Amino acid sequence: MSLPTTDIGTEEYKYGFSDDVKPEIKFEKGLSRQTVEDISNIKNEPGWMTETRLKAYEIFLEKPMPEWGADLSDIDFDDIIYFVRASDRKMTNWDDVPAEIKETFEKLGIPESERKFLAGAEAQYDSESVYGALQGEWEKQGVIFVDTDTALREHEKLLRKYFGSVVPATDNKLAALNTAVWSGGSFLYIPKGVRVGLPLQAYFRINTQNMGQFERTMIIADEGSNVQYIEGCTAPTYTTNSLHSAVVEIICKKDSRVRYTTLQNWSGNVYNLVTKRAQAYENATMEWIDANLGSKVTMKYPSVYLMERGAKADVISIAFANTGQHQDVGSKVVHLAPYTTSKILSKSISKGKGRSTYRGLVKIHEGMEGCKSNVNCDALLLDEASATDTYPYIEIEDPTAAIEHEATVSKLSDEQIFYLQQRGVPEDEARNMIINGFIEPFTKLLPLEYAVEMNRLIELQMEGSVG
Amino acid sequence: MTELLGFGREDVDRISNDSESPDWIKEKRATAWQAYENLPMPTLRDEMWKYTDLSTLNIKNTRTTEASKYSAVEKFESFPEEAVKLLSDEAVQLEENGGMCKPGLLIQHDSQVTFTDVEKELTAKGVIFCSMSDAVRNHTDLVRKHFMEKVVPVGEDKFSSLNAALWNGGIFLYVPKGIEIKMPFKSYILMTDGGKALFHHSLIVLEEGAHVTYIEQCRSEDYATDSLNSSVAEVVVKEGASLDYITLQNWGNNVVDISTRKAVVERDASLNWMVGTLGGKVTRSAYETRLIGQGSSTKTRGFFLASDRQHHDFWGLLSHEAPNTTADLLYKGVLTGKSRSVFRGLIKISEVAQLTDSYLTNNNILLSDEARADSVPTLEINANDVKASHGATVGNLDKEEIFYLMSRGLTKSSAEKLIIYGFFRPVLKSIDSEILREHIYGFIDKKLGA
Amino acid sequence: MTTENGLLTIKDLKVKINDKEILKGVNLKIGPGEVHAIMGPNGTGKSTLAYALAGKASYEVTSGSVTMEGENVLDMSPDERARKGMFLAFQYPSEVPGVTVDNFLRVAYNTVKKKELSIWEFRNLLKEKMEFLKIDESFSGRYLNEGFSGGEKKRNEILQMAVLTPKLAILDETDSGLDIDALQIVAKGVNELLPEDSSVLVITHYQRILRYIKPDFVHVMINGKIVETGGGELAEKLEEQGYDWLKEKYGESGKDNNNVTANN
Repeated sequence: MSLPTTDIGTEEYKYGFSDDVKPEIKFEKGLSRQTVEDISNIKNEPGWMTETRLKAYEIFLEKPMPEWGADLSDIDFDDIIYFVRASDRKMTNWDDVPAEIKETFEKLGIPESERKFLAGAEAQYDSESVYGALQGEWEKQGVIFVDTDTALREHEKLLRKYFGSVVPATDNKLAALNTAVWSGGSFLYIPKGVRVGLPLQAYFRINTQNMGQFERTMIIADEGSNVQYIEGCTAPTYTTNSLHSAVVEIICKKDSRVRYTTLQNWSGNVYNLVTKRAQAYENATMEWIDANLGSKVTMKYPSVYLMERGAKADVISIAFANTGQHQDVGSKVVHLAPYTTSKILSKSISKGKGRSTYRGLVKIHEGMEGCKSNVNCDALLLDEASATDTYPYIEIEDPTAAIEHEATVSKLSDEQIFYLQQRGVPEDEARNMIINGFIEPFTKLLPLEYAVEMNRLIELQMEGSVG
Repeated sequence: MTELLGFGREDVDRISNDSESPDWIKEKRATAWQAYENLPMPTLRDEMWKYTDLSTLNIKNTRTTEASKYSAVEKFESFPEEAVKLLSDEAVQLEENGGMCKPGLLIQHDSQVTFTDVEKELTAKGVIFCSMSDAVRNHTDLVRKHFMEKVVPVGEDKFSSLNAALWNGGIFLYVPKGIEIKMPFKSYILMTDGGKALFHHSLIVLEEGAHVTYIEQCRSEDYATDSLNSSVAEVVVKEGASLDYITLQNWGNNVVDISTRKAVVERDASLNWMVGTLGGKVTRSAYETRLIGQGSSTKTRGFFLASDRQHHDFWGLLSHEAPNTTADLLYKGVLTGKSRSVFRGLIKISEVAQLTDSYLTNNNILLSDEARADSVPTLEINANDVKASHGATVGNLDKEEIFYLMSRGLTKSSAEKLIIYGFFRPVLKSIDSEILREHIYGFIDKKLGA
Repeated sequence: MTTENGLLTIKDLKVKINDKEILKGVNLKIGPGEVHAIMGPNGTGKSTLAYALAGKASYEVTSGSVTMEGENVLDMSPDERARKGMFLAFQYPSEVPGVTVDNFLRVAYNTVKKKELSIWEFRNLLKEKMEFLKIDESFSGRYLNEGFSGGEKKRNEILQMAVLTPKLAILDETDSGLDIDALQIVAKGVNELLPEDSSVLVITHYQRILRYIKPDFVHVMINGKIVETGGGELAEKLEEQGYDWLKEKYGESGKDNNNVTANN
């Protein structure tokens, strides 16, 4: 989701176009044991993965749908296509990618960003990756950045060691579903001491109607390494629902630092139900930078398990809920070691009849001395019909903990608008300025190009809001 | 799974007959019992009971007492010895007031209100302060309008339904239009043995522009077998009226207390809760305030001190249902030993409640390695022109502060005590009565000293 | 004296806030390049006049007219008035978290001056004014008024004025809370950073600021009306004798008026 080279229409959601790509393989709608086996067979997977998938499918059947959070009653697991292969080969050069698909990614500005400021990029189209490249410099240093299907073929041992170790299939119904039918996603390994200077980006595009995208992403940051990973996502606007249900597992080994940035901008018909979790070991830092602008419903609570002394979690997120959207997002940090710290900053904006919800947990286990946690949630309500909720769970079992939680809800201040107007700034621009200021703690963490894009997306959402 | 409670339909019948309930009350009891039987017992899977495990409780054999067990008491001294002991500080106050219980004092012994004293001039003005059992018989019209109707309707939840079926004690306070009384109405609920089950149901109605204070205290010694206390209070504060409602729970360490107090506050009226929880084994107290009239307001000041294996679960709802309403809740707790606390608060602002201010704060101090505090301060906001915020902190005593005080010659324990007093002060300063404050400090002292 | 075709003309202006009449018929003419001061006890409507001129929403104009260079100001939105050349230095400027001083001011400058200065070009322009006002360079990267001291907020207002070079600068109690050094810097900014033909309307309770910003005209407002007009000597008289003699002459501003926080 960076600067697009072509302007595509003027409607609010500018990524709502679809392509007429004829897929290589497209499953019928519906989910069964056979679907799971078929996915595994098509990919020619080792037996243990087929087993893992089938076990997960059983768990999926047993687990109930979450009853809390957003309304998921509209999801029909039998009305979803579980696998679509758009292109039979994955390319390392954009010129080799099928023209229509390439064009889509060009509209989304991916090749351009890659040339300008990325160390590597992966592009997934429906179920599988169609493009992937990593700058030679990093490849030489042993960095692995491939799609997860490729990783299973080429780095099976490494993948097997960690697959499901952070998010087991038993975690929740959708994690089980992902484990059963996963396809694509990024696999990233940073060797000891390697610090990747530029961000790596993955881009996820859904094209097919009624599609279910189930990418599986895994990042292993070895001791002392440092990496910044950015993912973006968009989809065509359809009248029927699509489902995006990813699982992301991250391991931050001793002294490493991982920054995982998500710019979620699905179209308004996508259910986005994602399980993201990291384990941070001694003195490692995990940062989740999470923006949720699109989708019909998002339920996502990036979490960090602080496994060893000195580990640190930093979660900063923004959500923008417009009419028809429910952003049910938050974060979970579990302090499993002494002297671990966490910081959560959540900013949400609700517009029209949109609803944004913060849902979070901070837990400090008994005997985990000297832990600190600070949680801040600010909600901004733009219209009379806008709504917001805050559900922070704080569970403290150690007396040496220092926990602070604060949440505020407010509307756009008339005083602020008047002040800016008095300096000549028109009202709508004044509102945008205040809103961009409100999310500034978030945007300042993005690479400049993304920050600019972010502000522009917010302005698009704000269009026509001055009444 | 074994049953948590051992009550049956026969208990409802017995109480119906025993307390000479009027027919409409008998009907309510029957409906309530039906609702109780139909509703599932809450478990840890229920969001609202997530942190309080009822299945471990040992209260199956608790029994309601017969209503006629104790005869009415005219004089304070005539109470049984164990009751007199629990009332020592009240006796001092009485003496200071020349033996007068102004404006009114009710004492409930187990399930039965045995002592009633109300200022005659107030009775003449239409103020009613009596036992709930008397009220349903003698003030039927006034009571019937509100009793288990809109505030805590029959069948709302498992425990309030059980209370509605088996209630036997409780008070009725009615203050007519425009009457202002500075001194507090008081009631005591005393339990003088183990193995009991108390169900009392109170109703407080303030007519337009009335202003009163009501202090309710629960007390008992420690006994070997566990008891169950269930308090339900319904509060109606009409236009422009104001009520200060102070509850101090100081049960012995064998009492499981599951209580609900709910209020509706009408236009420009206000309700101030003061909640103190010091005793009890497992305490679950719910305070729900519905601000249904424009310009209404509510304030809650709460504190608890949990020690040993005590478990305190607090639920506070600030429901804004009209414009220009304000609410402010501050709940502070200190935990020692293996105690556990749960704070759950919700600011709920409906679509119509524009121009609302609402604040929710929970601060906890953990003094021991084995104590645990859970806090869930939540917001549900459906109007945009509002100011709402909540905050929660959990921490320990500031080592620097303790060191500073010790360097001035204080012992460690007195330094800690001083800091804890300071921590509680913002809450306790809202209690007017000095004797009551002293009583609370005395109790805190005793608990911290142990 | 004031020309017929003055810069700003206020005729019989009456303003209500929450159904309470605060301004009860104000008449004032300001010519180009003139410095006017409105003085008066607290709660008489001085700040209300400032906000009403700038077009604050909750201020209801019930009668009268305000024209600037012959155009009806009352029909304009606050930003249109600003682009027309009206500037209000707020007594209590709003904090706008996340919006930096330089970024905000560049947008304002480009909008008011109809220019397209890049951030780099604009920073040069800003730097010069900041040096003049003895404002530290780091200031421009801070969030607008967030965490500013009282003096910093006032200086920031004058900085904005210096950048936007309005035709009419209204200073609402800009002197309050400033120490003498800061006051002198602020006054110097007003005197030297505004173009010759810009007019200034100083609203103040005290005569102090008028020692540094010399007024051509001094008006006294009591109970929502201008009751006395004179030159600089009137300010000095007020400094010596206070407002009591005027209150006696024109009637007490009224108990209820004292209760009105007119500038909110």
